[in-house]
Amino acid sequence: MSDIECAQTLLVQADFDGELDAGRAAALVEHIAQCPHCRDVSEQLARSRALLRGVPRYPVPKGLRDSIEKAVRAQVRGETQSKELATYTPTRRLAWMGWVTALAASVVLAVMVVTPRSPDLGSQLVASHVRSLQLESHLIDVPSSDHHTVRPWFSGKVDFAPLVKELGSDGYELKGGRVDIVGGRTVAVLVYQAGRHVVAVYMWPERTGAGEIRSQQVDGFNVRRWTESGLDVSCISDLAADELQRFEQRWRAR
Amino acid sequence: MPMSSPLVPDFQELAATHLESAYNLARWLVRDPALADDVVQDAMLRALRYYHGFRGENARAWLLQIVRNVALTRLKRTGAEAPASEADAESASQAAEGGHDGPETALMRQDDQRLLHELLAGLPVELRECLILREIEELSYKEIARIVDAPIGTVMSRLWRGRKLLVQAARALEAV
Repeated sequence: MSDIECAQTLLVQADFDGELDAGRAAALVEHIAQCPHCRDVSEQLARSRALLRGVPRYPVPKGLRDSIEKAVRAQVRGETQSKELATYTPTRRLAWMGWVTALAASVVLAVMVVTPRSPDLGSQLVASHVRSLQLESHLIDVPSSDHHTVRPWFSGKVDFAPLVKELGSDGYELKGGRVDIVGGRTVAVLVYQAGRHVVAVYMWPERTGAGEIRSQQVDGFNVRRWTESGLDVSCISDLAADELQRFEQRWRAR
Repeated sequence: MPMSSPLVPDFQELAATHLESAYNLARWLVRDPALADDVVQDAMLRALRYYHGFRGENARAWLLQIVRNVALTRLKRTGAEAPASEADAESASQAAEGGHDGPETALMRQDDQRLLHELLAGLPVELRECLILREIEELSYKEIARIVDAPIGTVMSRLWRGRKLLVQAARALEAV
């Protein structure tokens, strides 16, 4: 049986769904009067709706509403002030992660709690990076090793054109990109794989007086930052300092 | 420029308003309560990150689009559902006829609701999502097209195929 038996079938359906203007709907009434097939279509449409009328929405489970509200609040807090990230507990997620990972994460968080630090840019970047690594699905929104895919993906999501570079021949494989928020501003993030290490490159439009870190170490992560093509660019990784410097050199050489 | 008020209360309100739609869609897509919870939570956090780019038009469609993307990504990763294929489109009516408890038993259960759920759940995901969005969420073709990232014509033909399969399956049950 073919899907579309009469050329008017989908129009009959569109009328049934209230998608036709009055003129076309009126013309269709005449057609239906003469076309047995379309009368059958009308009956099937009505029947399917009668069937589906009995299907209620799944009720939202108790607790989900609260847990989302909390998670949203926690994420916002974490992004405005990295120090508060320490209190961020993605409860549902932790249950998933298995206790070993959870334990490791809590050690990282605990270290951050007991280390008094103003939420400077380096810490904010590292906090964002750590969070992205914890929430697997947060690391990459557009998985692609092709800059032709990644670059256009950002348009409409950030109000600038991020640099997207393929560094595969240098040993850094582009894994994809995502949009994140650091210090209340929307940033573009590229993710590279360097052996077993992840390098994240954060970018946003350059602004004077935005801060002065050149290279920094925060919680075992190295951060390097420079300006390029009107963008403020930072890379964050657990790579050793000299290896991350090499990454920066290769990146900027492109 | 910290992203505090008024952005965040607005977002919280948006999330709360459309949570029922979001959860319903997630649940119908992944067909697993725990996974649906997780999909919705993940989608909301993602939506928060994209919220600055949201222009204020049609929040529900915007949010459902994100929910769907997260759900399909999860399904792909867990392999919980075979990738959508048109080939098993006919299986909905067959499932109603065959299956481990036959149609007689099914009818005797007098559990139309549950049966209907099974029929609907048995449809290929690309037909199911269109039906859910149209008949339960009562969205327009244009909104559905945006959410499922397909042309309106495709939405129309998927809706028709889904409806037809559903009616066929129901008739097959009654014919016994």
